[in-house]
Amino acid sequence: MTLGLPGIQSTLHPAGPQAQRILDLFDVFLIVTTVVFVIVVVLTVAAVVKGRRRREAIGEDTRGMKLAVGTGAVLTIAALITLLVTSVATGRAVGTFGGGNPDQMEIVVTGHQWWWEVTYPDPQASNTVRTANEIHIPTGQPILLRLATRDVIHSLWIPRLHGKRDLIPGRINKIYIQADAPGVFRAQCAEFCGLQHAHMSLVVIAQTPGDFMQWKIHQQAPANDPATPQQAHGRELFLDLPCINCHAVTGTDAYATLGPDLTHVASRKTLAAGTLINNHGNLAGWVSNAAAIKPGAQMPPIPMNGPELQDLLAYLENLK
Amino acid sequence: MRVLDVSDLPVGTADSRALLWWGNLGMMAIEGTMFALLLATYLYLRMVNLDWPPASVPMPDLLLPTINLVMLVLSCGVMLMADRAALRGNVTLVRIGFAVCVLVGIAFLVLRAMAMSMIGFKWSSHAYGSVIWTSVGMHTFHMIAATGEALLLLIYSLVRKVEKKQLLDFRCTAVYWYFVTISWLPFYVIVWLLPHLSRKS
Amino acid sequence: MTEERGQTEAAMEATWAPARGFLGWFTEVDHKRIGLRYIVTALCFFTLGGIEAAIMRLQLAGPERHVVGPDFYNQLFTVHGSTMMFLFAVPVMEGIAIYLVPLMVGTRNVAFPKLNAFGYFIYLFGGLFLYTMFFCGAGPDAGWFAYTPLSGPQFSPGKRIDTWSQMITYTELSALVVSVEITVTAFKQRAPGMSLNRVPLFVWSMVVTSFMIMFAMPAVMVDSGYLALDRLVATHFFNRPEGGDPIFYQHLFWFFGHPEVYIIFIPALGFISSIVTAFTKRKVFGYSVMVASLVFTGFMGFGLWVHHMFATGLPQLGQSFFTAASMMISIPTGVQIFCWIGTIWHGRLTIRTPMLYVLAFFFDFLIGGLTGVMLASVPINWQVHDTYFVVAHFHYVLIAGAVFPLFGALHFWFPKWTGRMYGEGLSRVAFWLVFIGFNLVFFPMHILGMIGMPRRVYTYQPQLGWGGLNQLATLGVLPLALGILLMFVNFALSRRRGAPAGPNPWDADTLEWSVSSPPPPYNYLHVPTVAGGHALWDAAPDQPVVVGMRTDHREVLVTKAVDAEPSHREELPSPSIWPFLVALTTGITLCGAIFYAWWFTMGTVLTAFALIGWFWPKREPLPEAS
Ligand code: HEA
Ligand code: HEA
Ligand code: HEC
Ligand code: CUA
Ligand SMILES: [Cu+2]
Repeated sequence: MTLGLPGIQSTLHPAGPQAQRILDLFDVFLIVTTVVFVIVVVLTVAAVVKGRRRREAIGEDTRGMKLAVGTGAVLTIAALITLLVTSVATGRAVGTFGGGNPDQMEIVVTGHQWWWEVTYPDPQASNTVRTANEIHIPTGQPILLRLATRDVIHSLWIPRLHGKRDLIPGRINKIYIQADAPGVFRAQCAEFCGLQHAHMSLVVIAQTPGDFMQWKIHQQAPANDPATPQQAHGRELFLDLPCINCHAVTGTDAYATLGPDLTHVASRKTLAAGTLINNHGNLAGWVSNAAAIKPGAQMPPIPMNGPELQDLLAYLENLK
Repeated sequence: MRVLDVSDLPVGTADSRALLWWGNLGMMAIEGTMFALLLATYLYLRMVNLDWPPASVPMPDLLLPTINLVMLVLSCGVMLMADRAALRGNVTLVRIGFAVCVLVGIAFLVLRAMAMSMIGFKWSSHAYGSVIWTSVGMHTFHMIAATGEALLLLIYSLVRKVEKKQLLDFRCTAVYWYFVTISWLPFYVIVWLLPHLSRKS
Repeated sequence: MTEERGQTEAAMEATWAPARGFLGWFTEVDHKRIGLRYIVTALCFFTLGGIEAAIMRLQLAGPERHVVGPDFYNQLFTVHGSTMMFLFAVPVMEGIAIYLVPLMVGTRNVAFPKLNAFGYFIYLFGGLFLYTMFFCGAGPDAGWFAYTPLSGPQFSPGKRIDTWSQMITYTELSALVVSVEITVTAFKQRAPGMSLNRVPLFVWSMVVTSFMIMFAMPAVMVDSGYLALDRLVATHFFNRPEGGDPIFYQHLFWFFGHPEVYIIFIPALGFISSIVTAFTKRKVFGYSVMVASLVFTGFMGFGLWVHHMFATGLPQLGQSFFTAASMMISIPTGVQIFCWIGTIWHGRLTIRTPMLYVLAFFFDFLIGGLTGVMLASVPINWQVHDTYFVVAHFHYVLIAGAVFPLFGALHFWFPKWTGRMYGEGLSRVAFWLVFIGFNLVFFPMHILGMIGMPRRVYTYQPQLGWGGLNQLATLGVLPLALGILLMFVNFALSRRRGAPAGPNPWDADTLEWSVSSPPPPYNYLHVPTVAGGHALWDAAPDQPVVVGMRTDHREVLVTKAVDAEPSHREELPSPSIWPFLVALTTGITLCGAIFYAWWFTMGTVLTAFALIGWFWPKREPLPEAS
């Protein structure tokens, strides 16, 4: 069914039971509607051929035609009932999947204009993991995502794992996802949320439970201390510049939440909600003038000179 | 040539066959939908809020609004009389009925203004305030329009000779008057009565 | 006899003389002229909306292009969507109805000609206001449904969203007055003999549409009104912390928005019935079933709105109800399609351009309807909601379902409106360009949605692999736009040089084809009578006409709602400047209010005065004793 189409964000390439069920349902719909389409088109063509040959119109509504139209209506109803039943059944299966497990793993995803805050709550506050624009999950088990927003409505859509669900002010929506095998799945905000709606993506990284635990333990650790003088100067800059008005780095005095948590920023694959690959050049460009790369992004340009920038980058890149 | 001669048919009528009568019904259907949506707004917001009205909202004083309601309902009787008179072509009675109703309308608006000044919260205080003020405001707006329309027709009937076809205008105004009265009834309940009867908190 | 006829004609010409000169443009009350104005104005907005779409397509032709930036792109799709829905699709259908309904039912003007003129001006002002703001760089940018809180005071400061919400008020006002007029005209002014079971299907479709307008449009006026209040005077209807709810905005919008799409679609069904009848030379199969389907669709249309909100996470059970309702609405649509196929089957079919568009409708609307059924399934919807799959669905239903029949209708009634035939050859070339272009633009979008492309993105990254299909879609705009351009050129040329059409070039069945093309200002010298469901085909050789109506007043015959027995006569107003003035003061009130709140009060007072002028009866010459 994939027809060689690109699959990094495709509903046609399911990687978990939820998306798989929906694709199966879609196939049922596709088959039924294709049959309907073919029948109706064939009938139309036949009618046109017949009608063009006729010398004189048949004026009255004949019994035969009444029967034909009646049959069409009955078949329509039958087809629709079939579709309705399969749809509701799939809806139930998808909707109840994963529920009822008391020690479910939970992740809180919070939408911001235009990035994703991802939190792994832990009864012990210091063990709570905060990251951004990346959801790491262990494979083979249902994960509960709690969806919230800080500002406008967003919508979390991970096509290869599940359909979308909105993030709505004042509500918490829940969905369950599960990945069958390790992999990286691109996801994107699907509800128009302003200027940079187009650049509000994220990745879901499914890992074996073992790898996942390792990742989590690493994330729970506070930020790396500077290893070189350059990095140390970078940290000073970071704490002096307006950065700390918006960002947090655990183990330092920076704990603002207006922007992504940077404690382990260097461990992430992308920057600015999937806009950039996380590498030296991109990070430099982003830190010096974010809005030039992502017009409207809510991080101001911070004036600093070249050496300062290099020091700051050295510090950030050490935040593995 | 076969023909259908209609020269005997009347020109214009003041009864429910007239075009304007139907147009008036259409307009009331539209405005009725709008009032229904206002009610739905109230009910919806009540449903999604845990405390409703908010604790800070004082108990409304029922005296003025109740006098107002009774007055408005009674005035419908007068309107009905004027309405009937218009159908019979009795212009004097129409004038009297309209004069009374205009006075009632003005009195109503004065009392309404007093009641509004006593509401005790603003439209910007909370969603409850928004929906209450909007409901009262919309109705007041309609009441001003109905009173103005009645006044205008009254003046017209005093300075000009009322033709048969203009009687229809009086009748449509009367129907509008009933409409504005009836559409207030549920709002009277939610705005003034309900806070006394049931508070969610 | 002929001399008598000549005298009547001269008297009627004088009584119904159109308003002339520069001022005449502002005072005209003839439904035909106002209807044409609606049509032409709406087509101008269609062109603007289409050009906006073309710019969007250029921007999306490949990954990370820089034709426009995000800010302008967001304005583009918002203004494109709003233009197409509010300034093009609804008004163009209304315009055609205003032109045709009085003719089809055999009367001389709509029930409220002055109101009709008002409706046009307020629509025009709404459109001009939106575009003035857009060209000043303050076009709305929150999408054609402007969800809160994005459109609220906190996240959209400035005047952009206010512009949008006032534009809604203007255009809905216009739609509402038209709906009342059409309903009253269709129920009370039908020619004697045209009982309800003989009303042309097109008129039925407009009656159903009008009822839907009356109950749906208030919802969007209330909704955009609340939004304006939240923005301008700090109410909290949609502000969650203060007890409001942004989801309520969506409920109210779609309670209007879903009926809205049928408001656009149902008139198109009416066009198809007219065209199919004329080109198969037989009545549409199953008249009463067709009428019942229209009415059923109209009712059901109010029960589907939640299918636009499945992703908000409302309770599962409720959602299944809306899935069922959405599927149920396919039944009447399907039945109508089957009835037309039956009609063609038993008819003597000739294929001219209007019929080509109808056949294209069958083919392409079917695709759109079937993707609608897919969207109605909750789980499928969770995947494809807010993606290009939806964009594909609604362009298939809107363009193939409404605009193709509209183009068919424009060709079909062009001879009636202008008195001349359009050029058949050119129109066929245009048809094929439109048909091919349309499918090229919108078919790939289904696939794009399936492979992950969300709607309303101003650009996308190369590694997503959406470039090729997007490029195809953009290329398709070329034939599409060319085809539409060719159609317009054909109309412009034929208007002057086309072959004279005569009263009834298609040998069609409804009353408008019995009078000259274009019809005289009074439509019918003698109000006709009707002997069957197809006025012209069923007429007796000596079908009686109505006599005894005054020729020195603008009189119309009012008949009874069900059986169309003559009831009485009524006089309609002559040209008047007041509708224009009231529209002007209303316009000032609405657009002033978004800049200074007190303008609202001042404008209202001004409007009240203008209304007094409108309604103050004219002093009559003393009536002869009678
Ligand atoms: C002309 C306008 C028009 C019409 C006619 C329709 C018709 C239908 N639409 Fe569509 N719709 C829109 C305009 C229209 N729509 C627009 C503008 C939007 C998007 C708004 C936005 O978000 O911007 C939208 C969005 C939309 C959604 C929400 C998508 C989303 O945002 O997630 C849904 C979901 O259920 C839907 C469903 C349907 C259905 C079930 C029909 C049905 O009425 C279709 C019925 C017809 C058929 C099914 C074909 C003929 C039938 C047969 C031949 C019988 C046999 C058939 C079977 C057995 C299946 N539409
Ligand atoms: C009846 C309604 C209607 C019509 C007719 C159209 C017509 C077209 N639309 Fe659509 N569209 C909508 C209603 C409509 N649209 C709505 C409601 C939305 C949603 C908005 C939102 O999300 O808020 C939308 C959104 C929308 C999008 C999605 C934007 C996004 O989500 O980012 C796109 C993208 O391709 C698009 C493209 C087009 C194109 C190419 C046409 C073409 O068919 C247009 C063809 C017409 C012309 C080109 C004009 C006539 C041509 C000439 C006179 C010749 C001269 C012109 C040129 C040389 C360019 N439209
Ligand atoms: C006014 C608030 C603000 C200030 C000040 C600010 N930022 Fe940011 N920062 C943000 C926001 C908001 C984002 C997310 C933007 C987006 O993706 O749209 C962000 C994103 C980032 C990212 C990318 C994080 C990721 O995982 O995608 C980095 C790195 C970053 N900022 C570093 C800095 C540095 C270094 C400074 C100081 C020199 C700084 N920021 C100052 C608000 C701010
Ligand atoms: Cu967030 Cu779109
Ligand atoms: Cu819908």
